[in-house]
Amino acid sequence: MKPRRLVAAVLVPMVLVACSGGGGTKRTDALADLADEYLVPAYGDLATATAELQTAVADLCARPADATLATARDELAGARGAWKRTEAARIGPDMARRSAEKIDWPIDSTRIDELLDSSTPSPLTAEVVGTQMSSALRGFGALEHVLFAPDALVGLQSPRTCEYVVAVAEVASAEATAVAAAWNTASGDEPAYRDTLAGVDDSKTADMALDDLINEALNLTERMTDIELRVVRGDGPEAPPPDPVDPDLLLSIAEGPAGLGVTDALDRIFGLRAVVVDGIGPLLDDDLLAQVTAELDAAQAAFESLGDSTLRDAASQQTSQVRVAFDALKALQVTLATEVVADLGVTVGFSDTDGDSAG
Amino acid sequence: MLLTRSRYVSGRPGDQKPTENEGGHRVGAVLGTGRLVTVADRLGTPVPGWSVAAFRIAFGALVCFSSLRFLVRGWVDRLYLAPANHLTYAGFDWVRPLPGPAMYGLVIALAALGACIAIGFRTRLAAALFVAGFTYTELIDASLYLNHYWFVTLAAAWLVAIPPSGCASVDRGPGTVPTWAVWALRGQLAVVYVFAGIAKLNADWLLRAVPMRLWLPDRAGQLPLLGGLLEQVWVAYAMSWAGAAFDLTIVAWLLWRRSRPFAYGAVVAFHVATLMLFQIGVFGWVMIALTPVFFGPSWAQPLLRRVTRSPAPTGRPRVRTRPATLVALVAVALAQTVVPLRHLAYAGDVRWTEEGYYLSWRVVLTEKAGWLEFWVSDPATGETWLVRPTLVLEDWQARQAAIRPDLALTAAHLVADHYRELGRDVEVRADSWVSFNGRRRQRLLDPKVDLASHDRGITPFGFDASSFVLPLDPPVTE
Repeated sequence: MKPRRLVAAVLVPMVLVACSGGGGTKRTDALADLADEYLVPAYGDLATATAELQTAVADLCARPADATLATARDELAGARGAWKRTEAARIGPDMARRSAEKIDWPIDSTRIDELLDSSTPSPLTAEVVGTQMSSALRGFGALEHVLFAPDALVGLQSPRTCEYVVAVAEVASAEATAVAAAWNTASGDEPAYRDTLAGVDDSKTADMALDDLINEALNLTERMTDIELRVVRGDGPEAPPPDPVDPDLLLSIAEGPAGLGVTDALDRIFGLRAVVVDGIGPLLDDDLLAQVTAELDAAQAAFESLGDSTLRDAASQQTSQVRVAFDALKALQVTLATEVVADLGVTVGFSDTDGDSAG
Repeated sequence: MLLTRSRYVSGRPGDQKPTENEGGHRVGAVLGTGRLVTVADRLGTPVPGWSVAAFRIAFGALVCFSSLRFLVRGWVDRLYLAPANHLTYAGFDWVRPLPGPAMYGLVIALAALGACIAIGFRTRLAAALFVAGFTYTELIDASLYLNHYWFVTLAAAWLVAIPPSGCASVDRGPGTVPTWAVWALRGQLAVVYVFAGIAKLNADWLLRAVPMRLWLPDRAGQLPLLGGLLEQVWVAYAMSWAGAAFDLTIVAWLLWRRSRPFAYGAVVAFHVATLMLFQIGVFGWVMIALTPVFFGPSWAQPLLRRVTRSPAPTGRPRVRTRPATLVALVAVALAQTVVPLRHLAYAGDVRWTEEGYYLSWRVVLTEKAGWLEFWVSDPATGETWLVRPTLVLEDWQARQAAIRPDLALTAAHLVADHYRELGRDVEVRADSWVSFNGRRRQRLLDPKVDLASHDRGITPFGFDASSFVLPLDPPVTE
């Protein structure tokens, strides 16, 4: 055989094999499906829900009444749910834009009250709220603080309060719309994030996105166990906190006056299932996928068993169910951090500096 | 007793055509006079210093670059100054980072010392100071341990021991180095390859192609055309076996003159490939730059003579190796053979327990994904609560502590110290899980053991891992 033919005989099959992929579901395919079937629609839902919230808040201020207040509260719960359902995939545009700081951020209720009692800045427009104010003074938490206050309708008689909630809702809606657009639409040199996630131009971006997805899913379970559930599971606020964070702040993050802690948890588990089981699941070993599914089922069942209770009430009245929920989430957390990470090879684990040691 | 140096003392030192070009390979033939030839004489025989000079220049330049890179990337602050606590080596708890400006000054000094080594300015002093400074920085935090940093320490130590040749150097010298100097550097490189190869002789690496089959698919996106190949299982097997064969045999190929150029080509290809596939910093460049010392002692002469002045003679070169030097060389060789294998004396698998990991050239060998939390209890009050390692550690430290039992033990002590400062004398137990080489997760640390009261041992002499690390089940050999 002539050398040139020999080279061709060796190289051509290699290239064909190389281009055919490794068999089974490819990462890029799985991530494209995840984007198309869940993430893009979910961020679209968020944009829609926040727009409806904005409308409802405007109606409430135009016609303050029990009915319009109830509608605004429902729309807030709906928008908040849409946001929580994307929380397992807090990557891409909303991370780059730091959208959470405009949509849902831990609030400082004392400062909000002081702001509403003062006369400056004035007027409280979306521009002012969105660009000049602390993140602790806006987002769903701020709306919850005003709309779920015991005397909400009385407070909304104040033009400044109405001005404020309308601006906060507008900021959240605009941000959600921008994020949804970034998932779908190219802007300048930036491709639509859907394509980045799916590795359309460069499969390396899909690898990076997969890393981010697993890490964010893990972070979410950690937030749930370390922040919301740590206090209510029975450790009690008197126990030393896990990190040097004010326990009162942890409680305020966990659950505002609307008492949506359990609903939030179920929405987050919904998003975790969509991302880890339905989205990434085809890339996992069958037994491992079954384990992750079972752990999510256990966590969901534990939270559903709390019924309409708030997390605060559950802490004192349904301690055992709270512990079950905590343990189920903890099991999922460990599975994500060890077996899922290993199965996907999302972290080689070399040192961040100059690695030669694995792990 | 035996004088071959007369061959070298005529003409300009360092410029002569050596009668042998293998750093002592043919010394016996040269000395074939019927006289008694001792090992000391052979090791002391002068050979041209050009290859050692090339080693020195490459080494100095790389450590200078590496130190500057450390500064530019902000690692001085992130890795040394920012952490509230460090995962110290047991027995070296007294090593603490210097205050901020001094720590920056030290790393700048290391870069300057690297430059001094490269140009051969007060080489031995510069290398000695470098060893001291570099070792100090390495002792600050055990979670930063890397095998190639250990190699850098040893290579610098050799440059302290080797008499300056004056070749391509500000320092004056005879133009030669003792034969042992060339072989010491070759031996140091050989140790890395051989023990890295021996470490690959296990069922996971050879029979299951792990961790390669875990790592390579994640790297597929980095090679646009052939990336798909990395997703093939057979490629993982091929690379595992090729890697083991490379590490185990490359020294022999480098020593054989006929195969040497091809072997060096393989060294370059191997390390470039690993640099492309894995985040291993400057390690690959270090090996590529230093391995040419396997070529003859004069290989760099044509290259270096164009850019540097010839060595200035400073006297007659030593011939016989002093007994103390000989004893030291034997001791170092023995130590470098025993230390990487000391894990065989410990219970359990070193890849799981990490007991015997340090100083052992176990390079890019395992994949671990870990989880670590501590259950802290106060016997005085009966309270028990959960603590993450990040209470006392940075994220990057905690990630290492999750997979390395000795670091987890140190972290547990730090947690206990934290609460002791708050007036609570606590017990600390681990909730620790690790997925090793793609296996389902297992508990790494015994959750019943109070780590706060467990002795940390003395690094690297072991930490009694079997008393708090649960065994890998089933063992890797099964």
